[in-house]
Amino acid sequence: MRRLVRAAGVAVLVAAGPAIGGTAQAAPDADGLLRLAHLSPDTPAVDVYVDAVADPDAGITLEGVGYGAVSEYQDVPTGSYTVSMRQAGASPDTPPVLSTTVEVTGDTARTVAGVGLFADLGLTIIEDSLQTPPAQQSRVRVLAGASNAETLDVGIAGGPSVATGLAFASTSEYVDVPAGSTTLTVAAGGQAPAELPVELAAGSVYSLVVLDADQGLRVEPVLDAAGAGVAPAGGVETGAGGAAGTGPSAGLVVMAAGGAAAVLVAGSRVRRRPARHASRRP
Amino acid sequence: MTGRRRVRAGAHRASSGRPSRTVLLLASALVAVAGLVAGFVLWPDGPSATTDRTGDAPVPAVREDLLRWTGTELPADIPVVAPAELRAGLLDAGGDPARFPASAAAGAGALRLLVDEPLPPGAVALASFDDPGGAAVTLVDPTPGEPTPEELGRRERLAAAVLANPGTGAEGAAAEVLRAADVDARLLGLLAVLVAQLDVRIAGFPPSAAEPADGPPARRVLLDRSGADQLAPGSPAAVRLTTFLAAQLPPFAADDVEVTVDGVLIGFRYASAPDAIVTARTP
Repeated sequence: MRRLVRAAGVAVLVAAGPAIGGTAQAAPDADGLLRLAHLSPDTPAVDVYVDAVADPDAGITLEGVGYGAVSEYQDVPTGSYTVSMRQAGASPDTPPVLSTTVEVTGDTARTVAGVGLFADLGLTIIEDSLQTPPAQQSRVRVLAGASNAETLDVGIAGGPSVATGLAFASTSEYVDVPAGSTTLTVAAGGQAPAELPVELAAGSVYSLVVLDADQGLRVEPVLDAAGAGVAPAGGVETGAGGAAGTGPSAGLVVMAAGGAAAVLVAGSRVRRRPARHASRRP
Repeated sequence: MTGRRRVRAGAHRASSGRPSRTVLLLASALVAVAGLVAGFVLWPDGPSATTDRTGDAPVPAVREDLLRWTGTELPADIPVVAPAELRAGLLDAGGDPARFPASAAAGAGALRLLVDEPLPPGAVALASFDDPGGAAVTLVDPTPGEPTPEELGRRERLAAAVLANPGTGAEGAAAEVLRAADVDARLLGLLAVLVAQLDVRIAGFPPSAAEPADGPPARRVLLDRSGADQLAPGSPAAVRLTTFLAAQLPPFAADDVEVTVDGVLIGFRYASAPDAIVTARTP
């Protein structure tokens, strides 16, 4: 599997993909949005199977989802789904293991995230915001996926706090912050904060995914929803580019990446398929 | 709460090829009548013949049934508190003292055995045993876990989705069970993925022996087909299904899997709060 971020870079995504719109106002029976995130540092890459319980012809397979990957949003009909996983590359005879069930409704976007360490791996369902913030604001939250940081403090330099004492494998609430070029402060376990520049588009909603890096941490801004001024891209939204930056701080290295239009699902392959697949999966 | 629906009845047994509740009741009645006749013949004084058949001393057959049931339907770590004489009889019959502790040592979460006692308020009956002497022995969970409204709603929607799958094939009582979402949340989650991935057909939700119709949500399901293939002993479809089941992890790992001529019987042992168990593992 390919990791989404390599070397010193963190991909800050710039969008691509089908438009789900940052201001989605879906009808109750419309499709909902579902994506997957692998936030367990020591868990191998997995193939993930999302199957509609009521519809034998609806299913999604994401192959080779590795640590740090956040899939594109998938448009899926309202209904109940099972999410099962199998280690990537496992024998075709190896059955996938049911991990959770999740409901999708037309007015929701959800992230099914594998969290924690492998020995205590859990799946959690995270509600994503599709409601855009007020003018000239961005909305951000933190997904704590770095085992190097028992707790995280994340904020905007000179601005509001985004998360305080956020435990590993948990998610903070969304916070509205001033949009534009700004600086994130990230501190692990009460250490001195590192600073990194980011670009937050007005009217957009981001999840700041904090991950283990070879040294310290890295931060991946992932676009949850885009405002009218940002070209909506596909299922998964993309991010607004951030500038690369590192800020060594008491052993902590925080990296954000910038620039390139990389998609967080790098390495994963998404395909839709009939759900009757257990005996004929490759 | 409302999750404890009272819709699972004899039809389950009928659908799974097991004797219906009506038949069982008839048989019990016949046994009781036979017992009364025998009692009259052997103990013409009548009342004196019943004095040592009441309260805490059920006949050995009931003790054996109790031991068998608790051994196969309960997790090993759930204690069962019994009246003193019944407890002594169970231990004499080979019962594990850890399973049947003295009441003071039982702690919270213990189940209770009642002898000729009405069901306490809020309790749910897990199994009923009628001994030939007439004593009614009932195993109850005095404080069964109740699903939250969110958990119950999730269970109802998932059960409806299972029923809506055209391959499920649930009819009659089995369909009613799903409509009422009267299925243990662990079993329902497993059933959902089996329906979605293996195209299984539901033949019924057979209760365990001695389980009353108004017991807890169904913990067992009988599947008779996977796609076009019959689930029979040794069939490739049954092997594929049992392999799939063996790979599952808690809370969706079944406790008991049996391949029968009628299909594959999947069971979970009793849990007081299965919805909470599922929520804790898959929020």
